[in-house]
Amino acid sequence: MALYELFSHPVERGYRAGLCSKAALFLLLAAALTYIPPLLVAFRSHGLWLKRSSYEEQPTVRFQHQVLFVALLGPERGGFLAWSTFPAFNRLQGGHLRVPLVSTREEDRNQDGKMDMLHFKLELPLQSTEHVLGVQLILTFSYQLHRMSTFVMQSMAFLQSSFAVPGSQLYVNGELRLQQKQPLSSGGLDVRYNVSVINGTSPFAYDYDLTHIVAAYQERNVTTILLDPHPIWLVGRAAEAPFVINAVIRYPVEVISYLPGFWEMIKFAWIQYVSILLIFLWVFERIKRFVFQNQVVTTIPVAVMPQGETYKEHLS
Amino acid sequence: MHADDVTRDAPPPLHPLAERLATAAAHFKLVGVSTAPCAVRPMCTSQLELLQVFFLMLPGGVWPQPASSPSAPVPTPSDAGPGSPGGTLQSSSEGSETPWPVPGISTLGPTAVTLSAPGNGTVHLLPALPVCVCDLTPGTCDINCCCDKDCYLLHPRTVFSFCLPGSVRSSSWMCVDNSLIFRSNSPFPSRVFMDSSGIKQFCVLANNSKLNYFQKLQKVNATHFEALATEFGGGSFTSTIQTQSPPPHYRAGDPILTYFPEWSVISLLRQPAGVGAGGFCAESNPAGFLESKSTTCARFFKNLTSSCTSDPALNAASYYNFTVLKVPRGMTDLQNMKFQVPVTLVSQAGSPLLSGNTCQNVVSQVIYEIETNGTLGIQKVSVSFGQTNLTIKPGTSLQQHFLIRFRAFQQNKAASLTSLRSGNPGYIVGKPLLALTGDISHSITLMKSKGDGICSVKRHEVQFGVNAISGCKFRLKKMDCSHLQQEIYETLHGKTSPEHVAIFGNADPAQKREWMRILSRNCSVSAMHCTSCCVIPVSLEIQVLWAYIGLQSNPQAHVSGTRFLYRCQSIKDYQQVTEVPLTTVVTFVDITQKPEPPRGQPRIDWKLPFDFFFPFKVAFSRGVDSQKGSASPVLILCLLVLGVLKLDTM
Repeated sequence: MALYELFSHPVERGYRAGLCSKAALFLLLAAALTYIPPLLVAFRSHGLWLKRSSYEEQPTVRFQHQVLFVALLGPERGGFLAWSTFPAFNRLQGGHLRVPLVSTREEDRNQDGKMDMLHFKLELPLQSTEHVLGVQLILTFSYQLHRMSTFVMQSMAFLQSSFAVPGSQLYVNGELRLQQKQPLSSGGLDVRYNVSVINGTSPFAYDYDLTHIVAAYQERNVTTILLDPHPIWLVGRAAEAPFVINAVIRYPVEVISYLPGFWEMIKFAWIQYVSILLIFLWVFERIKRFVFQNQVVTTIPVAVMPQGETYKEHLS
Repeated sequence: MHADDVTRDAPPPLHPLAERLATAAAHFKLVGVSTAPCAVRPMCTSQLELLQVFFLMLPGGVWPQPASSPSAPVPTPSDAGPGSPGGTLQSSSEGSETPWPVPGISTLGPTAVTLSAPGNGTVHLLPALPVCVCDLTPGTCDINCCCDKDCYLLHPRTVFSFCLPGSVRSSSWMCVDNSLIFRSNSPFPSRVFMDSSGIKQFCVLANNSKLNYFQKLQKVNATHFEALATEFGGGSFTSTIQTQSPPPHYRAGDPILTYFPEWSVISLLRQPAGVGAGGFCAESNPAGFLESKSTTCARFFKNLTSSCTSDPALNAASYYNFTVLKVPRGMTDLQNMKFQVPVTLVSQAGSPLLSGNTCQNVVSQVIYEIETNGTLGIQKVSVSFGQTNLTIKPGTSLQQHFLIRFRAFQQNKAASLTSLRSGNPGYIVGKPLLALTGDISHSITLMKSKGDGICSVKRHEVQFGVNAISGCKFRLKKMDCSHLQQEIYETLHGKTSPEHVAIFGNADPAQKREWMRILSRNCSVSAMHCTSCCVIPVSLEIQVLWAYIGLQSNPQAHVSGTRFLYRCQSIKDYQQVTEVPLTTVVTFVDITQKPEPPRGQPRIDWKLPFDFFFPFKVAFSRGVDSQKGSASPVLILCLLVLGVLKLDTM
């Protein structure tokens, strides 16, 4: 009857030497060479510590129902009409104040509890002699992120458009995009920019100056912008028709970069370190076996017996 | 060794075998297997390994076409390989039969090549090509055209800096990395090239007429011209003009046909609409059958004095001096009045009249009422006009409104007009918010300002779900305080004060329980010891609480409560003040209570286990989409389970 090898297991063998022997020194050196170089390799090849990472989230955006609107009139100079939801600003305008009809609606398309888009319509009544050549419009939003750190800010969408021909309507269909100059943190509450874009309580004209508003806003490290590649300026307004701004502003899913937390950093470093370490372990295991088997360093080989068997031997 | 002999005595370069590279590859395999005495055993195995690598690489990198092309003759190694003595002979005899227009092998163009020993024998510079593509000037030598016979050059390369592509024989080579080939005893021309990056490539001349030449031209005739054009054609600029016989009846969206008996012209019923950036009237915009629509567009006049009477767009008559075809089939018999309906005039409309500096009776609004009766088509068409007077001055413009309403024949006119629903039953976003005063149903409105900022008589309908703000300047008149208050209240909420609001969009004015009382709070007139003071309302805030009810898949919006909130201001010396700014605001608040999400669906605000099983979820959901993908995650799972079991047994 033919015999097959059905089972096998390695036999362990011990090598004995003093703690201050060459063999002990060799083992210490081998251990140092096994565990430290992988760390150096992982570090020197860059990216050991994950310094920046990103995730996707749809922000919770709500229109704050704050509007600041300036229409530039032509062809004679200096003509403009303005209106805002801030009473102080309206008081400052005097004769240039013209109250438009503003209607807005936020829509949650997929019923997930987060708004997906804003429909904004502004109808500015005009006299037949007034012609709109340009508009400036600020809408403010509250912008919140929840997945990593709870980030709350008040942001704005600034729209400026002008055309050489007097307009009847401006159609805008764009997205409110997040602009980050620095990554967000991976946890905690971030309310650095939870301050209003326009100081509506202030009675001073300076606080409603567009250059001042934009300058203060751009100081922020995290902002939103209205991204609209194709604003459409429609011309040909009948004498009695109002000037209309028709805007659709979407709140898209954003890719947000953040600083990974401690454990996330450790996790990625660990993966890199261990994968390099495995190779070193294997190589040095071979080297050590060679060194001890061939008695390159002097040791006394002992066959290690299972515990039970040695006990028996002692008895006999 | 026999196989080696075959390699050395490489077949002549004129070997015209139309065979695939597969055959050549088969030779290598045979070499590997049958080369004889391996003095050193490891050498032999490494060679075999190399060949295996070669075969593994072939399908991916080298082959220009799938190996198992059914039309290609793929001889088995046994009948074509060098192992069988007749193999090469047989194949060359085969080859001589196949027509081979460019016999032989030549250099591969101007690139510098390093030739290895087995390839050397195949290099032949042949006399001029039968077709010389770069010989463009007859009788004159074309520069760098190596095949131009007018140059009378035996070795053109010595004179020209390079040969133009096409002026030397081209051949297609199939290459693999040179290091993969141990020895080639293929009967086919093969060479070792150095490519641009300095890597040696072993190349075999693909000598297959099926692969190297375009396929036979297909015969095109009248019958399969169209079929070929559609099979191979992509997009093109050809426009398709449809010529169809008129359908028996109109369908929704079809243009409505009209007939001008005066000129015997068939046209379409037009509903001018603003088009393009200018918003100017596009005159010939057709009206769609059963599509009740309203359009607005602007007209600008260079010279109103002349166009006042001559422009048909301003003349009411041009909107009814035709008949409407009941059904498109009527086109075939235009004399038969059975198929035609005249346009009836609801009210008299005069034609434009130039008197002094005004152009009178200009059409500003056209309303068509069309009654239809199923497939029997249009039964009655009536038109009414709105007219205005225009002052003649440079740059006059006019806005025209066009409204077409369709109604089922014999339907109660009053009913169809007054009870426009805002939804059935739930409100639809953008539809007017219905209110009730006494027994009269109307919609809640906001005031609007005119061009100069003064409150206008025109009002803006509040649309359900749309927040709005509007304002205007109110001119105070000389009247006493209570009258003033009364007038301002009317400006804020409209002529009739809304008392009830419809809970659903289909509320019936007769059914009182379908309406809800509006919570209204007027200003508390604070008793001030000031005779010249008057407390007047300056703003109205309409707050509407609404919610979805019913099935989640079919939500119905209903109004849960409405409040009119007036804010007042006391003004001193109201007889002296001339203007007061007024504001109205509408706010819709959604108070819908969403049900708990079903179990198993993680809620959005759960932070931790939201995507814990993400890769499995993605893999399985893809598996549901297409059954193909479902195997791999199952396989992975099986492997995992097996692995765990194995660990246990150890």
